[in-house]
Amino acid sequence: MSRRCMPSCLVLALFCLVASGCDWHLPGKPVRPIAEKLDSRADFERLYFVNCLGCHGPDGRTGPARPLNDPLYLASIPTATLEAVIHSGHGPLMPGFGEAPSGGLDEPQIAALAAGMKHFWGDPSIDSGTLPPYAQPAEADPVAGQAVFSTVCASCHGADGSGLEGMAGSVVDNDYLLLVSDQALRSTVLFGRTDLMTPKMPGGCPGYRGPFEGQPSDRVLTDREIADVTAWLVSNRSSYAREGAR
Amino acid sequence: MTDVEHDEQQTPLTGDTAPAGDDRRGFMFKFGAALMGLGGLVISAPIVGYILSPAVKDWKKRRSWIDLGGLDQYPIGRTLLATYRNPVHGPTVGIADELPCWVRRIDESTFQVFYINCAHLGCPVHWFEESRLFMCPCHGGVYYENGDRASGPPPRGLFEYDWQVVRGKLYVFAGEMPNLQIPGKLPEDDLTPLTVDGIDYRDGQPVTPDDDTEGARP
Amino acid sequence: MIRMLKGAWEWIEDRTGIAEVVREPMTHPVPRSAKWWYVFGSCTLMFFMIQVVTGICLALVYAPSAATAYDSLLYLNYDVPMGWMLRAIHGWSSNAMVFMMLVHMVQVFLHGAYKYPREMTWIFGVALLLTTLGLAFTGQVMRWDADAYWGVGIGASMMGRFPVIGGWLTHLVLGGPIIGGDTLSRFFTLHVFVLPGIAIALIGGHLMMVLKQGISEDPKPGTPGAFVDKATYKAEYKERIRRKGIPFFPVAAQRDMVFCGVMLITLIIVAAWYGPIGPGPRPDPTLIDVTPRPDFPFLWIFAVLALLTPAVEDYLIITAAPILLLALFMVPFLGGTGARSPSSRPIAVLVVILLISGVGVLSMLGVTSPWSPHMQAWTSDAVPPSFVRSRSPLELQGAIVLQHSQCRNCHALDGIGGARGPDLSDVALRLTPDQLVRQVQQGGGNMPAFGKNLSSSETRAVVAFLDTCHPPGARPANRPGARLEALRELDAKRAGN
Repeated sequence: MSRRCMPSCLVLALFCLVASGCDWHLPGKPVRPIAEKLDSRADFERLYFVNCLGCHGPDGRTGPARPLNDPLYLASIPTATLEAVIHSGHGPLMPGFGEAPSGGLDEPQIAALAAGMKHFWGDPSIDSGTLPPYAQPAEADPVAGQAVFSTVCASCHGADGSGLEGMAGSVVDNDYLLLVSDQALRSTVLFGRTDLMTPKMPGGCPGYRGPFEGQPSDRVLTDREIADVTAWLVSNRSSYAREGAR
Repeated sequence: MTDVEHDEQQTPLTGDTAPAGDDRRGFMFKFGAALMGLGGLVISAPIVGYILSPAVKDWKKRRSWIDLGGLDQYPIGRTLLATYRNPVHGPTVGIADELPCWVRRIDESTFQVFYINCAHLGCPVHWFEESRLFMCPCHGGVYYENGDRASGPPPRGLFEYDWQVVRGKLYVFAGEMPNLQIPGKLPEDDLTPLTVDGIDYRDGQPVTPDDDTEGARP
Repeated sequence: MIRMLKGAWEWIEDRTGIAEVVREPMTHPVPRSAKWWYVFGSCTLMFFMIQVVTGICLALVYAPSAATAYDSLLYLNYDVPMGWMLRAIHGWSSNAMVFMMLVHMVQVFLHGAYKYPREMTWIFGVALLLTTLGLAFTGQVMRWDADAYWGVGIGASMMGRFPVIGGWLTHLVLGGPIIGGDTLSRFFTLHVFVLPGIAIALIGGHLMMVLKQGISEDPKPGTPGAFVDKATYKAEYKERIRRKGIPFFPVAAQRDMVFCGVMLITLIIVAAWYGPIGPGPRPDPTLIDVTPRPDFPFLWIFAVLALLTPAVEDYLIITAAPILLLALFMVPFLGGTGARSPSSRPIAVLVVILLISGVGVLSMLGVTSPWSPHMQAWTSDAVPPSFVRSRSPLELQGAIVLQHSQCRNCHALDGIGGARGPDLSDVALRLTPDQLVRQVQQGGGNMPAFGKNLSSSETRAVVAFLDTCHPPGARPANRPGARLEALRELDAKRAGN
């Protein structure tokens, strides 16, 4: 009788021994979370996804606000300016993410966002020295700017900038101008909105390098012209509603 | 047998002597029951008091003035999150006694300080600068910038702290979690004066000893 | 060796008489017709025993003070060998026990097994229901994460709805003026000492009643036990059991063993696969970016509290629980005799269907919680590209205003965003531009007014954008009710192509 029970006793003893020592790695076993390494692509994408995607679009393009996934733009804007914009906001509609009433981004996270954009979306072969300056110069001529606009930009925006049916909308609408900053207007002149492609405008809205509809393919805006066009756009803005304006 | 009834000195502690000693047994039974009853009452008094004490204590009186920092931390026209250590805390509370509150600065010397607890059932409300709304994540209560109820299940606006500004610092009268039966703002008489550097303050103004004893306000 | 053990056993048996005490209830006669419908009770008991054993194991490491509880749970999860598995079993078995208990209760109710003479069994059972729900609630507080912290605050605030005594009740629940160390200690004492003790006593009473009054027969209409007549039932039942009953162990219990075995193995697999439940974010009150949610047995209450209007809420919070409990306790007294089969009791079946669907729908709503604003939607839910292309600069600024003013927290575009307000993808078919301006400025329905916080430019921009939100080719509304016409036009156009 004792021999018959021996195997089951042995099995039981073996089971207890094995069970007490093991820490089996089953699917449900929780893993300690790894601290975020702010230089990794995954962490940059996570920061961007949570904070920027809503206005600037998935993958930095096709959002209502300026595309950030634009190598020219990223080569042009100084890193310090980019960080300041993320921290304190920009214009009437971008809030400051470093100054949120509670929580918000701290300096390492802001630096990681700015550096991440330049690193993962930028193009290191572009020499920012060859680009026009990011900031608007003090001297600019709005009248000359209107002349440039009515030749280069008129085929989509109309000669006076009030838009063409089926092409592009008005850029001189006062409410629009009240909602964008001067720098935003300059950035659009510089870099366009190449992410807003439509069947009629397969290249979207071109930046200063063109190509512009109805113009020679090598037509490029000079620094002077960029400043003038920006100045003309700004001059259309009025704090007061204009007579008869919609 | 019967003489035992009258003889009280012959205590019945020696047990079952006379089988027909009903009265003696009856007496012991009643005496024992009375002793147990008395002992039970006496021991349950502290136990009941221990269990019920948080309910009957007047926690309003344990509130006190908390320093929320200098006025320069609070820009005019903005609502910011401030945190403070609850003045009433036990030894085991850990991080749970670091409490947040929303400080809204209306102008130079006017504030509204809101409890973090939604007026519906107490969840923490989030402030959004851009739309100037408080939103609650639990059941969807929404409040305007001044604490008024905007939408959702809350039956009233946000609870507010009593506050005063003394010597360039903001103080709030804190120490209790508010709900519909426990007010955020207390009646004037329940506010103890704030003492800074030996001077008592009420409503931001120093209180002279004469005012105090008279109990009247100018 | 075996002979020695046998001798020892016989000595114990002779002194204690324990074998007879155990054999008597284990082999008590039960009806032959008590088959697979009857296994749920023993499964609930098995889950309870698992809870006691795993609970004791967890209490060896868990540090029940508000300052240390969370870290001791992380320690259990990451550093204690198989600590995570024990937490997982305890958590999942708690959900399983609540679920199985409800199944058992529904089965007993539908089979009329609460009727004469088993009313006390039912009453013990309802008390067990209360105790188990109490254990589930206090158990989730033990997790002491953000859900537990704010959940306790909700419970205490509900006490504040009681007039006059509300303040006292709140402080009794909290153990002080705020959610603090005393709060966790109270709930720990309840969860580990008071409620398990009550549960064990009630289970004892419940089982004693089951033994005393016997297990009811399957109430197939026409069979002897299907109709309860007070005058004759007890005697006739005794006679039937004596003649045709089978011993519970090992004959009838084999089904219980199969079902319990299956459930046990399922529980272990679920626990090993999904792992422990939480803990969620740290219970730091200054971390306000949290979305507190209760465990599954209470999701339906969570939904009810979100959906009630403020006027009704006070009365319901105060009276709903006592009324429901009273109704449950009264069940054996409303129709305690008569037909037992569910096919003869349509009202009972209807009540069960209504309750299950009601609680089920509310629980599902509690999972998705559409009433809660999505706090991150304004920065992390994109405007779908189809809403960005072919928009004028002003309309694009309007889309930015929609994000910037946290509109997406409550409203979705193309299904992405908050669910508190309507999806705005086709709002232009429903509201004219003037109506859009009014709605944005003045609010209404469950929407706050944005008039003070939007400049006229922002309003014009956002209305311009919203006016483009309709299916391509559909004509936007130029008067109320134009939506149906616009959709019909669209269909006709598509059919014509």
